[in-house]
Amino acid sequence: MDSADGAEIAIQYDGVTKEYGDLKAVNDVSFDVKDGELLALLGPSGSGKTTTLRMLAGFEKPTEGTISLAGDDVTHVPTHKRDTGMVFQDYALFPHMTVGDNIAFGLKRQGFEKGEIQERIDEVLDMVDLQGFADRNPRNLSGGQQQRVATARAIAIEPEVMLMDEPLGALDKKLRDQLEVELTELQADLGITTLYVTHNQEEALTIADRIAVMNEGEIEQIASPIEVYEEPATEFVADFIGDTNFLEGDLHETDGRVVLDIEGTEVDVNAAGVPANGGAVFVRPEKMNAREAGYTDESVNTLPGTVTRRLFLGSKVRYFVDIGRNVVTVDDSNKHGTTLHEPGDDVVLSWSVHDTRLAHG
Amino acid sequence: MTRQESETTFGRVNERLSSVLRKYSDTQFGKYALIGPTLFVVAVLMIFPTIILLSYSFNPYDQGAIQAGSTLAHYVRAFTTTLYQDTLVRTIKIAVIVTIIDFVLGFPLAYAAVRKGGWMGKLIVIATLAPLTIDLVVRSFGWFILLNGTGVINSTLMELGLVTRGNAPQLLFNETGIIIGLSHVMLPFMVFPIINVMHTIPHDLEEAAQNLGANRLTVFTRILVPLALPGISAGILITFVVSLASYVTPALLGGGVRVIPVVITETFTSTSNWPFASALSMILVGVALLVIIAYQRVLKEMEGVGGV
Ligand SMILES: Nc1ncnc2c1ncn2[C@@H]1O[C@H](COP(=O)(O)OP(=O)(O)OP(=O)(O)O)[C@@H](O)[C@H]1O
Ligand SMILES: [Mg+2]
Repeated sequence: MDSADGAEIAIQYDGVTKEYGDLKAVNDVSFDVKDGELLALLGPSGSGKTTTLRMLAGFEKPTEGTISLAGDDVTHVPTHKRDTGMVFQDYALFPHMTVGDNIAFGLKRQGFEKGEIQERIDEVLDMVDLQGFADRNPRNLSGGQQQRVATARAIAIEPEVMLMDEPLGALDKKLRDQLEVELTELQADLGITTLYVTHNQEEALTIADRIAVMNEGEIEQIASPIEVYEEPATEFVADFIGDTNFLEGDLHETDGRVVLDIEGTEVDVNAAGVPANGGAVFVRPEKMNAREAGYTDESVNTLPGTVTRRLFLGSKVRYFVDIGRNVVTVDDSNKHGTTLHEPGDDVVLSWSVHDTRLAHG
Repeated sequence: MTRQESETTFGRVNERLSSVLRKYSDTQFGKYALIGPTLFVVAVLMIFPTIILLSYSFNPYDQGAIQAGSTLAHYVRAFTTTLYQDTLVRTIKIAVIVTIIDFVLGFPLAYAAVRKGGWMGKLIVIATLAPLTIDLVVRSFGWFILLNGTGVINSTLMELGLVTRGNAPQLLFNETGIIIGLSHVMLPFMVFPIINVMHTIPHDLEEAAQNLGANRLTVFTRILVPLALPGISAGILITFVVSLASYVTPALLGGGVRVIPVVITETFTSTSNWPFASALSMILVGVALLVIIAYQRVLKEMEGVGGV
């Protein structure tokens, strides 16, 4: 099966719903993952990420819809006959087997010879930088090492797709950052299609080719990290990913322009029209500048306000500015020549029309 | 007193007690003081009587009376008389079969009780446990109603036309009856140790194995059995040893078919040949001890190979 740009489609969800009693854990979800792509399922707790992933592994049966793997409908194929390799959040290493036996487990099921298995164990341990760990007991390894073993065990069987459920969730920040890099490099080297569950937006933005943002069992947006950040499709996505200033005011259209009226000050909005169900106008903090009071520039949006707090963060300065209806966050970069405002100072906020986005409700 | 009050009073006493226990269990004296009562009970109720039996078993028995002296005659008689040989073999055979049946029934029950959870899990636990609250004799009579020639099972089979009165299976007063009854009695002893250990096995280990291509049988043999081994071995050992020594159920459901404990009881009560009955008892104790020792050896070996 081919997608529009010619790449093979490795995973396809088509109208997939999973109900637990009255609860729709996953609600009519459809998406494709291209061959070799890393798709992150991102969303708050309880949004249905794990359930979505587990249905592909075959641990849960969809209530409705079909799931295809490399073009074959696998909705009713039992787990052990599906070609997926899963990395669990707590790694699920077999405690009664050595690292080598853990890796050999899947290879034995595929009927490899002893010698081949030994070679493969060394090969994958090499890939995850754990040379010589084959005879170790997984219980005596650090969290990071266990994570690597879990990854090695999953890639050893050369699955069609790799499934990862918060694989770095149990690790501290520093180790997570390091393994994020290693995992993505390994994934790219092997060119293995990956479905990656996380509730950590930074992680998703860093590693994913595309991100599917989930909320209450539904996919709100599925797009590249840049697009999800810069052009969030819905208010939920705008709010969930990154810091966001929602501007409150009266949204309307005048002579072809979409305008937000904030207590008499008009702000131009980068939108083709006002959606029927309204929408939320927002600006990211780093897109705004805090200027001296009295600053004017017709080519951009401006709005007067008063600094209520200032946080000096080294590489940037964060202001909280009261604009009447609400308080917005403004991040000024700490470049040479930037004048710092003090709390209580009147300022004018300026930002481009382009960055004044409209998210659907 | 309201429920709330009684709970807090109880809770306070409980807390006080456990803090005292914690404090003293760290001292040498405290340790002995704490296990003392148990040791005392074991000594008085188990070891002491066994020693008496052991000494009886060597006493000669002549002209209807126990004589002074020492002889191996009772052991020789037990091992050389066909009747007792057969009974011993039958007793062991029944214990083995009951243990196998209870493992085959008990493992899936224990598994389901833990993995299904919810009302299903509770139902399994209660259904397994409930018979323990009913007296052994009453339970055996329950089986009597089900199993006898015109009992519930046979009349159902006849009604379904699967058997006729002439070839209806004999389910009572033979080995079959004993096996059915004992399997029921012993099931909780198999199920509960396995439930305990099953709670410690994370479910995602099974999922990981399936994900790596293991079917149900492989998950069972390569993941569940090795990890549940402590519980499985406890269940098997208790079931086997207690089956070997059980008296009430075989006496009621076995009819003319006897096992060693029944023979021992009959010898004690209807003859005065206590030395011979003691010798039979010691043989049974010996068999149980042998099995326990052999079993521990095997388990240790298995741990040595990593239990795979
Ligand atoms: N086996 C189950 N039985 C009943 N409800 C379930 C079951 N599994 C998941 N749910 C419910 O389905 C919803 C989605 O759960 P899921 O685990 O997919 O969320 P998630 O996005 O992975 O969340 P988290 O980030 O907390 O892991 C939740 O409301 C959860 O309580
Ligand atoms: Mg989850």
